[in-house]
Amino acid sequence: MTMPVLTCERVDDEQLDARYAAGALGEAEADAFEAHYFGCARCWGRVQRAVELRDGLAAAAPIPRSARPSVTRRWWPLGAAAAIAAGVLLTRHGARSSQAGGIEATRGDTGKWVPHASATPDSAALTWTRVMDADLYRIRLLAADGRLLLERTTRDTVLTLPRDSVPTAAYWDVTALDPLREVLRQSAPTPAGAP
Amino acid sequence: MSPFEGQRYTSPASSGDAARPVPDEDALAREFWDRIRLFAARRLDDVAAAEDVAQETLRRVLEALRGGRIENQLALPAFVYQTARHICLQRYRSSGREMRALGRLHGGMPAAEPSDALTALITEERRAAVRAAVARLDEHDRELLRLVFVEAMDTGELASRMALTRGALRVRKHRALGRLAQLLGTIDPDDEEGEAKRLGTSGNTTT
Repeated sequence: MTMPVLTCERVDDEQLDARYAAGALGEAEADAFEAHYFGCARCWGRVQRAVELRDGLAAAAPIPRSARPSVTRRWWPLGAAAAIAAGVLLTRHGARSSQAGGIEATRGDTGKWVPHASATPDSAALTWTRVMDADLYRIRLLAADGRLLLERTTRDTVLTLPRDSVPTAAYWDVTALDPLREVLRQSAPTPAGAP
Repeated sequence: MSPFEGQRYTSPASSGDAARPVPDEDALAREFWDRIRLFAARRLDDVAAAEDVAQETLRRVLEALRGGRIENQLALPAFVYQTARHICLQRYRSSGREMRALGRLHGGMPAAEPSDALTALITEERRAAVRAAVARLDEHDRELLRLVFVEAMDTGELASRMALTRGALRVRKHRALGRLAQLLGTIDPDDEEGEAKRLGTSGNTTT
């Protein structure tokens, strides 16, 4: 069976994460999505988020009928809504860009966010600048061939390890996650060997 | 036996290292354990069985790595997935259950009924934090997210219902999720007294 090609953008556009968690995807589409999130940290985070939100939202009190979306009463005309939404999106993008080095975080762009690696005879440390809205940072140490050597998570902006656990020819990468595990920023690979 | 016994994933630029370092088991588990567990829990609707599948999958993957049968690291996620899938199928066949208990639900499950196996994977602490944040969310945001995540409405249908373009819907959804993330970020799981107060206050959803 040929699986449809999946991209993160398509996952977002078609809400595949939400529909997958709800069991609402067809078999081929679910297979393709599973194969995708096994190799995609961003979409894996979205699957986890979808499962959590289904539970949280299903347990919430019923929404009053007056608050439910109504074409005539609540929602603005199409053109106005789109214009306002686009303005908000640009504003948020600009705000985020000015604080985050000019890169749109949600696209997983490696941009200019570069952690700094240092070492002493006894320890190896990695530091990075805080990312706006980030709740957690996931740090991975990768061998030169891409093999994952270790993974840690922290709310801090520094990670220190024994020197002998960090090969010189390895690379660090850091992922900033929001409280819903949405990937906010992905760093460029940083050589673990200190200059 | 894995369907990939004897099969090698070759890379156009093989390193040719005679002695490949043994992969870090802990790193492998951290990378894939939860993914496999969720995938299997959804297929088998059984958390204990899902953990068995995760354990067996990682064992076989580690065996394949040590045996040099996965030379292209980029192929590792796909290998893990296919191995987990194969093991799930083996369990299903050996248990003798019907395909419908294992396969896709094809929309047969009511969208408002979360899978017990999937929700059982969430820690109680996390569930409480998310529920508390949801309770504090603006009712319009909550309704939008409910339609997305509980009703699992199709994007086109949801956009039509709200008289929005797909792009505008996407923006609204992301804004609602952003506000929910902010609420979630303000809930300190270690602040038990504050959490109890918040839950007590936020439990009064009728205003």
